Amino acid sequence: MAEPVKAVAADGREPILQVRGLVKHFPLTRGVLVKKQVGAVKAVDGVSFDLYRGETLGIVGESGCGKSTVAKLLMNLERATAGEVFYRGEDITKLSGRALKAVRRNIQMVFQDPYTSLNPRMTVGDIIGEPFEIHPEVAPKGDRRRKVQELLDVVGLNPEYLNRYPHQFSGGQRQRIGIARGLALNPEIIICDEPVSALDVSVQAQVINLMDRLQQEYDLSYLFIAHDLSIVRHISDRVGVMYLGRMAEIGTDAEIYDHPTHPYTQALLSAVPVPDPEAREGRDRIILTGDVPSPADPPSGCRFRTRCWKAEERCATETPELAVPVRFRDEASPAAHPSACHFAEVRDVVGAA
Amino acid sequence: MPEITEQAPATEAAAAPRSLWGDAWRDLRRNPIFYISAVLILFLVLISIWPSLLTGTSPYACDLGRSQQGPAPGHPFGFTTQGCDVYARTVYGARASVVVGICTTLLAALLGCVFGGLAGFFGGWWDAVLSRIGDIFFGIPVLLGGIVFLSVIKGGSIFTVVLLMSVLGWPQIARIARSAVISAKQQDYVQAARALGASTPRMLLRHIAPNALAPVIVVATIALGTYISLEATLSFLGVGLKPPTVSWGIDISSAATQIRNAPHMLLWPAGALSITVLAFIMLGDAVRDALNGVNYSVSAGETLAVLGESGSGKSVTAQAIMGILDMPPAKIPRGEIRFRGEDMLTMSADARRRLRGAKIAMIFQDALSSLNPVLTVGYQLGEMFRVHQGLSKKAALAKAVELMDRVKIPAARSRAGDFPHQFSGGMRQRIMIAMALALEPDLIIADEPTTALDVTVQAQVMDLLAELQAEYHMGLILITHDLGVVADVADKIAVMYAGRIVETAPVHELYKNPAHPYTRGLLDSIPRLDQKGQELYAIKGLPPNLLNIPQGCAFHPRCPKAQDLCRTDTPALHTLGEGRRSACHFWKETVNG
Amino acid sequence: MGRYVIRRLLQMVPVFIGTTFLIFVMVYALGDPVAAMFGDRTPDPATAAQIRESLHLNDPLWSQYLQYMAGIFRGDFGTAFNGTPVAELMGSAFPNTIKLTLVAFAIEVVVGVGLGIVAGMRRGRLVDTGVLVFTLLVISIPTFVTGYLLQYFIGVKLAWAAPAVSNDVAFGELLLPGIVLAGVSLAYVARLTRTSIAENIRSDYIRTATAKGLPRRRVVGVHLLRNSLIPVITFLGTDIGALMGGAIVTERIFNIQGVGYQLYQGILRQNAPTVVGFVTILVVVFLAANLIVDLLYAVLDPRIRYA
Repeated sequence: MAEPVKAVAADGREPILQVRGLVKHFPLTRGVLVKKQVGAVKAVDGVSFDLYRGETLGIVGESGCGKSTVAKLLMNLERATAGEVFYRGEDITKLSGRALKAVRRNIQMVFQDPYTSLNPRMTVGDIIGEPFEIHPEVAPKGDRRRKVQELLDVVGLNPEYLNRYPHQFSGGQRQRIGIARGLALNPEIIICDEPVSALDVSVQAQVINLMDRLQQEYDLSYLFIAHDLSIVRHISDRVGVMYLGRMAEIGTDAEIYDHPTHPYTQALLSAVPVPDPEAREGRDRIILTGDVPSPADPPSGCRFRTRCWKAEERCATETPELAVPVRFRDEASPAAHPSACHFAEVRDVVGAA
Repeated sequence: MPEITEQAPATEAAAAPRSLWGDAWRDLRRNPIFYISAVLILFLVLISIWPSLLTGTSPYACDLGRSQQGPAPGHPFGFTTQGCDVYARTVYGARASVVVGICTTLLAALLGCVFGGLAGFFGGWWDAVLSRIGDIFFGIPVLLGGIVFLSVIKGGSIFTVVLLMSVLGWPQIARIARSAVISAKQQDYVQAARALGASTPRMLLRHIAPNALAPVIVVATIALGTYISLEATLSFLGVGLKPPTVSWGIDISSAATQIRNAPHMLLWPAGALSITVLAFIMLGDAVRDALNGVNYSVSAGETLAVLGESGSGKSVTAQAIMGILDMPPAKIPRGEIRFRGEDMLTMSADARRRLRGAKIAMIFQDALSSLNPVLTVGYQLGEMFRVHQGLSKKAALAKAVELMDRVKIPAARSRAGDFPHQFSGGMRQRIMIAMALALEPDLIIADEPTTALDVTVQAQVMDLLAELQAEYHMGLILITHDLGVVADVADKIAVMYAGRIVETAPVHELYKNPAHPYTRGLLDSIPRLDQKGQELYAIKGLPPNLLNIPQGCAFHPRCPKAQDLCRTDTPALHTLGEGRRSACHFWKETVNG
Repeated sequence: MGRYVIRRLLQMVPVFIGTTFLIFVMVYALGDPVAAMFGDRTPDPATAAQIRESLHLNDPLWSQYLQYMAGIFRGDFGTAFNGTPVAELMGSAFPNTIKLTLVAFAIEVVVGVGLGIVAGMRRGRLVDTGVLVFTLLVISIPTFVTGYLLQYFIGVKLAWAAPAVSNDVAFGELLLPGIVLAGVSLAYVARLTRTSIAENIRSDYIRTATAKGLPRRRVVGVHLLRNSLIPVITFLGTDIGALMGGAIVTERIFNIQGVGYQLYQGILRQNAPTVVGFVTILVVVFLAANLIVDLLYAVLDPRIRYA
């Protein structure tokens, strides 16, 4: 069992959440009478990262890469198969009952779908007030109504809307309600699982701005999971790129977007359409071939090698570690950030430099 | 159907709290069938409590001397074989039916909710065992089981009949309860409650039960009518209720043999029974429509209220061009659609059909739901050739395989026999593209062709589309909300808002210098991949409801430049230059920043 | 697919055992087969004891059940009240009921599905309302009432058909009883088909089929019907068992010597072997129909995984 590493960021901040070797396998069973396990969907297969106080860590990746499972594991909505999640030095993956409930006060979640994440048969007041009912120590009974109205005001909704039902609100307004519920217990960490991807472009901007403001006001740490790379860059201080249950590359936003060294990150970034017709001709486009392999039967060695144009024999036999590549180790350049590739090299695909 | 992203927004001032139950109740009260059934049921309940309100005659006061006689003063329906008053017996018979129906339903619903709910909530072994127990009871048809068991235990009291019918009837409700609980359990709001640390009873009672209740109420109400009918059938066969209990089933049984001599003896209890069952079935129908209507009204709103950036009327326009808005029926009140100089709106339906697929083809957003789930992709592709070119089944299949090769689907020959759900999202969209390409049309309309796909797959598909477009010299109308995709592939752009075109421009000019405040706001509100921006510009407010478009310029409530003129006058589509038009009164100021 | 079939079959075993055991227990444990043999007379205690011994009635219940089931697998269902083997009664009764069920089933499919399609395609129009009102009435009037009324009016008053069925049980004679038996199910089929059609007609793949330029005939015939009828077929399958059970009422009205008639006689005379035997067979039919529906479903809808 790994001990919490006393890592300290360059600017002296301490990590508030440390994830070490997180694994989640969903067993595949088969059998006529007795179910026996014939394999496992390796949704998350050894993911490690740190989240620092007050920062936003973006996690990007395409569907099936395991980013939403990571969110569920951090929230203890799924039990981890292996690995640890340290919150203030305590491994929370093994907690249950009262201890887990206590931790949940400090780690909250905002869900993707504003239509299904609110109970349609409860009023907005009851939805935002429910955290206080579950954790009565946070707010005395007489105080709750006022607290709920305060929260509505904080997220930019009319406090008079207390008695309305979720279906009376638009998607953007519902997402604000979900954020208010997440804020109710005054958490330190908010896990956001695709919080704006169901919203319209103009409404997306409203919600992103709100989240930015709340982070500054309440000193929140966000783990921001999304597939939209532009939004992740906008909101994140650091970004991790996931592929098929593993972390491919992690670094500050400039390191990842302007100096990507992992071929998957490069392909991913080059595929994002940029809203600028002038950039059309000059851009370096990498079109990947084939589909993402099944997480039930991932390739040996490097997960990305089946679609990688750089793949060599070594990639099939030797799993690349997520570490600063040797050749950049002594440089003070932006290329010196952890990247799980044997042949890491910088390639500017966004066209920023 | 045109998709929308924003529901009709809650207008600021109005909109009192409206719970889903309240909505259902309101729908129910608007339904005349509900009133008819409610009045009937109220009446039945009243006379089953106080039958003496309607008749002073006792159902047991019989005079064998008047056996099978017809109507007489004070005895409007005549007499039974035993010489009892048919009217009194018909009135008193209501009690057994109503009591048995209601009690059986309550008991069966209770059993069904407990067993089905537990099975659905806990899953695993609970589910396996409870579902199997349900299957065992479900394996005995209710009527058959009722006949056998009641004849053995020689029942006859209301209590035994109720007990037996609910013991045989609960699995049906348990099945519904189980699936309702399972579907509620998977909702995000249950996950959200767990993330807050909610206890299991709290999740069950506060979050799952209220949402799983609606379908259970619907089946239970409909079951009520059938239970009443079943009790009458059992009593008719002589195994249900027994005299001295007054039951329509018993009276019908003894009257039936005498139908030739005295049809009046059959008519009244049979009529009363049928009307009672009818009342409860009608109530069940009304309740079902009201409870399901909640979902329906949202989706109906979605069909009508086409709004939001991704549904500002673009999809509807495309479908109007295709002439496929007639499912569901729609009207195009004015305007014309010219295809190669000919107005498609005035063409015959058959001529338009021939154009579809052959000259104009369409690619839809959601390939999974847009392909027929029960037919192989080879069949669906081949259908184009069979219908439009009259090819044989075999030749059509060969062409289909060729097409699949063309859109780079690996192992096309063997995969032609697969069903849509067996393909990945990207491969499915390739099949949609292949289908559109099949007859080499002049124009392809692609409605959000890559919105549902991951970015690397999106890049593959857009790449393929561009390559094929160049090869076949096709026109392409690309409908999308993604400003990035547009910048990548388009030559000309039309921006739509609230069902109208607000700006058209060549692609470079539009991005460099938008001539409509909406376009400008949209461009400023999206974060960029290639630069870390400051705070995003957010267009205030929400896209309008198409049922309630603001007067004047539809964008004025959200526009930072709006003047009085904008609130009163609808701007025309001004021509700015070659291919550039803008529907803004102040386009000059907008262009100049 | 093979694995799926085996799994469904194995799942059916406990259900079969449970259901038959339930029936067996109800009839043998709660009733008194010996007392029933003597009707109103009080049996001589010695004779009663002897009969109990010969029928294994003193053994524990599960042992009796095993012996009974073993008998069934040998084709021995015991003897009816008049000494005839129950198996022999079945031989004469089942063909009649199967004929009646077939007639009713055909009517149910043709009329029910037909009405449902017409109503579903013209949702909200007059014909749709008409079908809805018709099905509402048919569901509301219990089978035994419709049975006697049709028998009286069509059989007796108008004399279009024989009011009772002769011993040959010809198909032509079964038309009227078939309509009566099919009635309620037919109404449910019509409603289900209507809902299913109305739902599928709005689906994306129908829009695609139209966009492909297919003639409406083909859109409806190939794309719409195939998908819409999947739930209807499920209902029809499970309904076969219900029809055979429901025949007890219809056979009584029209005096058909089928399963219902024999079962009714068995109940009247409290003859346990007859009742348990017939009901067991009906349950087997019901379970088999359910199984076939499940398999059919997997064939018709490729999205069902054979897991």
